[in-house]
Amino acid sequence: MPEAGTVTRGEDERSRTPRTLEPAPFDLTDRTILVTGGSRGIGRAVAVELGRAGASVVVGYRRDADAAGETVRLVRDTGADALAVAGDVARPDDVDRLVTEAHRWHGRLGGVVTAAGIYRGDAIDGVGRDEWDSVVGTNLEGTFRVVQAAAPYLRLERGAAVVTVSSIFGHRAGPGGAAYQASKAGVDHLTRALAWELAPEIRVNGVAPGFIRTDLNEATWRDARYGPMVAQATPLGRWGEPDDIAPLVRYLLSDAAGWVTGAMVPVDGGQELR
Amino acid sequence: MSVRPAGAVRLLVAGRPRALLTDVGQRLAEEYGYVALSLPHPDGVGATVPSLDWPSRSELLGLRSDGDLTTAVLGLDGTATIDEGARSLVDIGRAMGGEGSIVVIGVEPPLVDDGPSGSPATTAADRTGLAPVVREAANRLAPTVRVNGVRAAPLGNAAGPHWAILLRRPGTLDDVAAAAVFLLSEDARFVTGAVIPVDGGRSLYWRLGALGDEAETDQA
Repeated sequence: MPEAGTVTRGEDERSRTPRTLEPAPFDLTDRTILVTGGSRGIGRAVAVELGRAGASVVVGYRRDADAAGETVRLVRDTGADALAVAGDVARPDDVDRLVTEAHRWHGRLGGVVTAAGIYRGDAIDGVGRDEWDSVVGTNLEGTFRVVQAAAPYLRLERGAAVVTVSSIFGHRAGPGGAAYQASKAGVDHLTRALAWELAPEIRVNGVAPGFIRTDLNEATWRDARYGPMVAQATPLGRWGEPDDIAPLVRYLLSDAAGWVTGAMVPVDGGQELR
Repeated sequence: MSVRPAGAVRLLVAGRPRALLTDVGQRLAEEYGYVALSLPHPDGVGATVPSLDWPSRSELLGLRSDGDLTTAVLGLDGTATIDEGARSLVDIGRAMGGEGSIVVIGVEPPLVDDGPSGSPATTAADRTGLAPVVREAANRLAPTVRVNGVRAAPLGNAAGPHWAILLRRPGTLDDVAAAAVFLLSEDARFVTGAVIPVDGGRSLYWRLGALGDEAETDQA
């Protein structure tokens, strides 16, 4: 049997030993990638990260042109190029225009990230048709329509990939916001169904964020009682940030994940575990 | 694009299957700058080659007092119970003595090609048992050490018949190593308890689902 472990290293090196490696080198140079919901939150963080990876980024947004313009500026700060295109993913005509313009920019489209999403957390008695239709129409059908519109372009690109954005609430249930939870569970399965249907040309994977501090749930994380409770109940001890999600999206879009399809990967600090 | 830190990150590689873990460990060293921690090899192989033997209690104490152990790539072959597997991971995580990151690799068995009219020997089920072990260990080692998994189909032509691999190509060492690198790195700082399937989509495969797959219908 082996004896106690010995390690070959210089003493001077030891104090510099980092705990984990810094950014992984997953490159997206020469890829044009559309990020829906790119004006804020997770979509913005993803757009900037893709810029860092060398991609040309199309920032899809619904209505806040100033916020989308800020994302474009942040992407350009990384040295990448960026373009903002308006369009509501819940409107089929908008989706077609959004995807067409994204493709026309550089004459190609090599990836899509469906980060557009809305949240309504009403209890069952308060869920009118409008809430159901807008939540499911944006989160679930909007995801499907964007991928549907993009697929013909993606098929033309080597290594094309889609990353959907689900939620911890697509796997775990809670009271309130049933439409939101069902829409995200739908995104989970949509991801698997599309992975099969679009293989082998297009890979389709998803990320499932846990409690992440964005505009979408600002009332929750600012709440004096609920905010700290979430951090305490999270195994890694804090709320997530949009920047925590973006590197996973980058990996899944890159050729480094070239044998990964149909995966739904949680980024939740372990929140699903408890 | 790679940003190398000032020093190298110490990596422990242990478990089974040995061949794959050896290759992954070497790839992480060559491509990504990790430095394999070398335990003395029972066969007397050179010190830079990781032993792959699961470290003993005394070895873990030694590693802990060195303060150098921060990352580990470990292989579980599915023969341990969930409790045994999780306990082994927790022992290694505690030897990290602070922040750290563990990636556990589980390799699925091959599929048997018994022809389009027959039934495959396995289906979409996870046969590695990886997820419950990873989740249990992740829960117990939080918040200091993250634990995640890579559930791989066998690489090369061992994965099984082409019709079950949705991406229609065999997997490579790079595919597995990249997933491990992502999960080990700071990029995955908020990821724990996750398992990434690196299998060409094989785990989606099931016979009745395949009836709608034009590519397979054409083959049959």
